[in-house]
Amino acid sequence: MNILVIREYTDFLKITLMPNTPIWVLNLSIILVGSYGAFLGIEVLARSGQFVLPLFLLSLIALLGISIPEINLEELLPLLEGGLGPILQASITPASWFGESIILVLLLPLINKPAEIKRKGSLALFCVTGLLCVDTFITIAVLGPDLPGNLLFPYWKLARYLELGRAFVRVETLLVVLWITGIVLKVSIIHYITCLTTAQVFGLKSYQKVVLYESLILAGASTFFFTSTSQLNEILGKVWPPFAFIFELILPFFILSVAIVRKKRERNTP
Amino acid sequence: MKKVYRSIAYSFLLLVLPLISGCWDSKEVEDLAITTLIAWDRITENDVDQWQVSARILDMSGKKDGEQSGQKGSASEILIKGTGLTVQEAFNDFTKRLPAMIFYQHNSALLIGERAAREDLSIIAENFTRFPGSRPRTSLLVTEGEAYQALQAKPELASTLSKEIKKLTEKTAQQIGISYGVTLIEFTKWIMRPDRDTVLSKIILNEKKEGEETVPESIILEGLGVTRKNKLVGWLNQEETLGYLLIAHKTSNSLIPISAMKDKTIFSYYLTGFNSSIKSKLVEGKPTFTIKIKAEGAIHENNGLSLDPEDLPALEEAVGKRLQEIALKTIAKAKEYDSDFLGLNVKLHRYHPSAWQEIASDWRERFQEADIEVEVEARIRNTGTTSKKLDIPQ
Repeated sequence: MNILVIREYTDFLKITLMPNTPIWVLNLSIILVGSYGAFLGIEVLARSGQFVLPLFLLSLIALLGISIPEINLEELLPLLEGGLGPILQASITPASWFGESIILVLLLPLINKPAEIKRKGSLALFCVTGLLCVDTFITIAVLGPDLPGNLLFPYWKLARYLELGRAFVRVETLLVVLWITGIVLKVSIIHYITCLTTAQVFGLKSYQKVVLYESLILAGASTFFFTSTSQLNEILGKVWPPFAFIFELILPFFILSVAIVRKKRERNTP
Repeated sequence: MKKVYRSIAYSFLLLVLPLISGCWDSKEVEDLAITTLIAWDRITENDVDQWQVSARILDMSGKKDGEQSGQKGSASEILIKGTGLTVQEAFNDFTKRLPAMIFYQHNSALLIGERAAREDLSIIAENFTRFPGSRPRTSLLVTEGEAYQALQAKPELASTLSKEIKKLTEKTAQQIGISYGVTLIEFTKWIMRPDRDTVLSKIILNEKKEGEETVPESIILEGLGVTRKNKLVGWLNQEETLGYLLIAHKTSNSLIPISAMKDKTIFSYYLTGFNSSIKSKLVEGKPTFTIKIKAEGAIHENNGLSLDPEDLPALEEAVGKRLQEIALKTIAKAKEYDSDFLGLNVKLHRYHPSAWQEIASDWRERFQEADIEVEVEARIRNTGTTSKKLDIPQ
């Protein structure tokens, strides 16, 4: 999965900002930073998350603020023209991306205040869903219902479109910078989790040695697995979702049911 | 041990050395040819249909050209053109003459020649949207005849032609009600809808009138180009454009003089703001639209008419009639071109989706038969700095 994330990031940068830079350089740069984060461990990742989050929220709120004069609520009409069916069908793919958050479950054993996680975890999920909705709402209300479906990076196009008077124009690069910080964090967390679980599966003493090997795999795979952006989109849209749902729904559900059954049995035996 | 570490550190620094020579995408300003205006034309050369691309490029060489008169200030733009089978080839055709690479990010407008617009606008919208260097807020303009001609004009008040066009499209056009500045994203949004047609800002050349002291050829933004499906089909003149603005847009910041008549005296109504609400319904398979226009304005030029509070309603009525007439003319034009550039069917689609489903397959034929009513409510908000009338003995 990390391979896909890295490649998404690289392709975006390649198309929008740096058309002449070779892909491996972009890949390598993010993998280096990501591995460093993973190497340092969970505390560093958590702290950098604390730092990045306000920047992210700020950029989103700022963008929402500038887009208010451009928002045309009529663009949202007619609501549910084809019924609920098409919407549900179309949301399967994004749902599989959003389901990626299941990997955070692997961090559960590391939490120092386990009592709070239920409330705070659901709050976090709720906030993320809310932000995604707001983001989609602005994009459709400004760019209309037809266009964003055909764009590769609708949100970026939106940021390019928005401007506030004469002084506040071309904000998209600033947005990309903030977005990169977020991606780096995502990459290092996933990287950390993979290394940690690999170490646990093979019974290694420290996960930090695994980081190097997995970084090499990441670098190689993200550079050579894909030939073009359209192929990447095909993988993300068609191949990934069924694959993802196994890991995001079926497997956790299976483990959960096993846990429940075991608990019941334990209760019954004594 | 320390020595080993140090040597490792040094060798690492050496490895970094090739990277610091510069990044792949670094661009120096001197190496950029910044295009400010681009025109796309279709031409036939040696029996082959080709694209002709001409561009205004910012001249940053800093050399002062004494011979070129009419150049004011320091900024100036050169004009070059190229041809090719595709647009990119055409760009390449003139890039080979430049000691710099073309840089599109500052492009402020795309001018489309009449022939290219009549052939296929969807290609232009698609290519220009796909292209990573294009900005969504670029203005789209269409010219009568070749767009290259329009680029040859000189700016009248702004320092460069691109600035002049930018100001005209963004401000003047809507403010004085002669055209509407269409941006790329807006146009793409419209052309992608299944239920409407679009307009494009129209640009025409203005020749210096006898005795005027200005550049010999300048540009005017006047009227609109009307599209049907993905092709340009016709033009709207100044009055019809005003009708389009009245029906499809709203503003509170316009300065549009409307001449109306009362008791055989022509007076001028200064339209300062308007908005419209469109009600749509389907009556026995026939789309019916009721357009209510609310106009606000002032009278500064009464030409001897008395402006008593009692007189105003009659004047308002006269203005309303005039505005209604203008709007109806535009609607007649829309039916003539068989093009719903006013976006009336969008309203039907949005507010009565089930009715729209009924007519979606043949909405163009139905639009021809549609009942369209226009009601205008014009208000006079002030009468300038004088009360009813100056008492000048006749």
